[in-house]
Amino acid sequence: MTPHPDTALLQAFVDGTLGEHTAVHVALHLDDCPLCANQVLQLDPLSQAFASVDDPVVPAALVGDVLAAAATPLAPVPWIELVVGTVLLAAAAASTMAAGGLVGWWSRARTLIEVLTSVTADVLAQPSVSVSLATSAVVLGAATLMLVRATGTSAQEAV
Amino acid sequence: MRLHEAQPQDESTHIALAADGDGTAREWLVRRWTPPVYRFSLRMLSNEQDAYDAAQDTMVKVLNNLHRYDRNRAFSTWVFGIARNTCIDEHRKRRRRGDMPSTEVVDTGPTPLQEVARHLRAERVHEALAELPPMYREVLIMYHFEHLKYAEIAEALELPMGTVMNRIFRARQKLRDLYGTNDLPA
Repeated sequence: MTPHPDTALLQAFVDGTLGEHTAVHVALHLDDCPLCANQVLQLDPLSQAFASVDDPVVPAALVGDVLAAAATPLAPVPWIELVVGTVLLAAAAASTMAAGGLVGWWSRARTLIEVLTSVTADVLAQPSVSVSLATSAVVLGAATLMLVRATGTSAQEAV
Repeated sequence: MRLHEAQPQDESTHIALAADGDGTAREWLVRRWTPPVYRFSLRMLSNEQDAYDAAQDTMVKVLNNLHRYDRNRAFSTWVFGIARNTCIDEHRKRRRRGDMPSTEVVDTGPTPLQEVARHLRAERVHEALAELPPMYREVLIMYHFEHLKYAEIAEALELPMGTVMNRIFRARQKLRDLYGTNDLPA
C-alpha cells in the first residue's frame, strides 16, 4: 500500500481540486485503506448525507419473479411459422431452379441450394416469429435476385 | 458491509456451479444479487416499476450469460455493468415513450415520526440525485450506495480511472449546487 496521504491532500481530494494523476493516485490508496477512506468520509459532507439515507425496500416478490423468469425456456417456434417459412423457402428454391434450368442451371442452383440449406437451419433455430419471418424474407429476396439475373443472362444468350 | 463484499470464495464456487446449470447455485446468486441490483436500478431510474423491470431483466441476463463472465474481473463490476446498461436501455425506452424523467421520491418504507427529519433529508438527496445526468448519477450511486471501489467503478463502466475521477468530482460539484451546501446534514 502507498503511504497515507495527509489531511490537506485528502481535503483537496474531497474538494475536487487535485490534478487527475494525483486524484487517481489518492483514489487507488483509498480503495485499499479503510483508515483513510473513513477520514475522507468525515471530511466530506456529501458522503455523510449519502450515509444518512436508508436503503430502499426491495419488493418481496422480485426474487421469485427473477427465478421464474430465468427458468422460463425460450418459446419454441410456432408450427405456423415453420409452415410459412418452409413454403417460402421451397418457392424460392423452385423458382431459382427453374431459372437455373435455362442457362447453366446446375452451377447456379448448386450454390443457391447450399445457401438455402444453411439459412434454413438458421431460420428454424430462430426464437421469435419476427426474426424467423424476416430471415425468410431475406432468403426470398436473394432468390428473386438470382432469378432475375439468371433470366437476364438467358435472355442475352438467346439473343 | 454490503452483502456482495462478503465471502468471495463462496461466491466464485456458486458462480461456477450456476454456470453449469446448478439450480441451487443459481437461486443463491439471485437471492444475493437481486437486492443491490434493484437498489441501483431504483436510484438510477427513480421509478419503482421501471426499477423492478430493470432489476429483473438484469438478473435474467446475469444468469443466462454466466458462461461469458471473465473470472479475472470482480463479479460485482460485471453485474453492475449489466445493470447500468439495462438502466440506460430503460431510460431510452422512457424517452421514446415521451415520459418525463421522474423525480418521484423513493419510498424507503414506513417512516416513524421520530425519523421524519431524517426522511426529509433522504428525500432531498434522492431529488438531487434524480436531477443529475445519468453519467454522473451512476458513479455516485456505485461509490456511495453500493460501495464499489474506484477501480471497480472504472472496470464496471469500462472507463479509465482518470475519467471516473473526473466524473465523480463533477457529479459531487453538481450535487452540491443542487443540494445546497447550507442544507447539508451536520
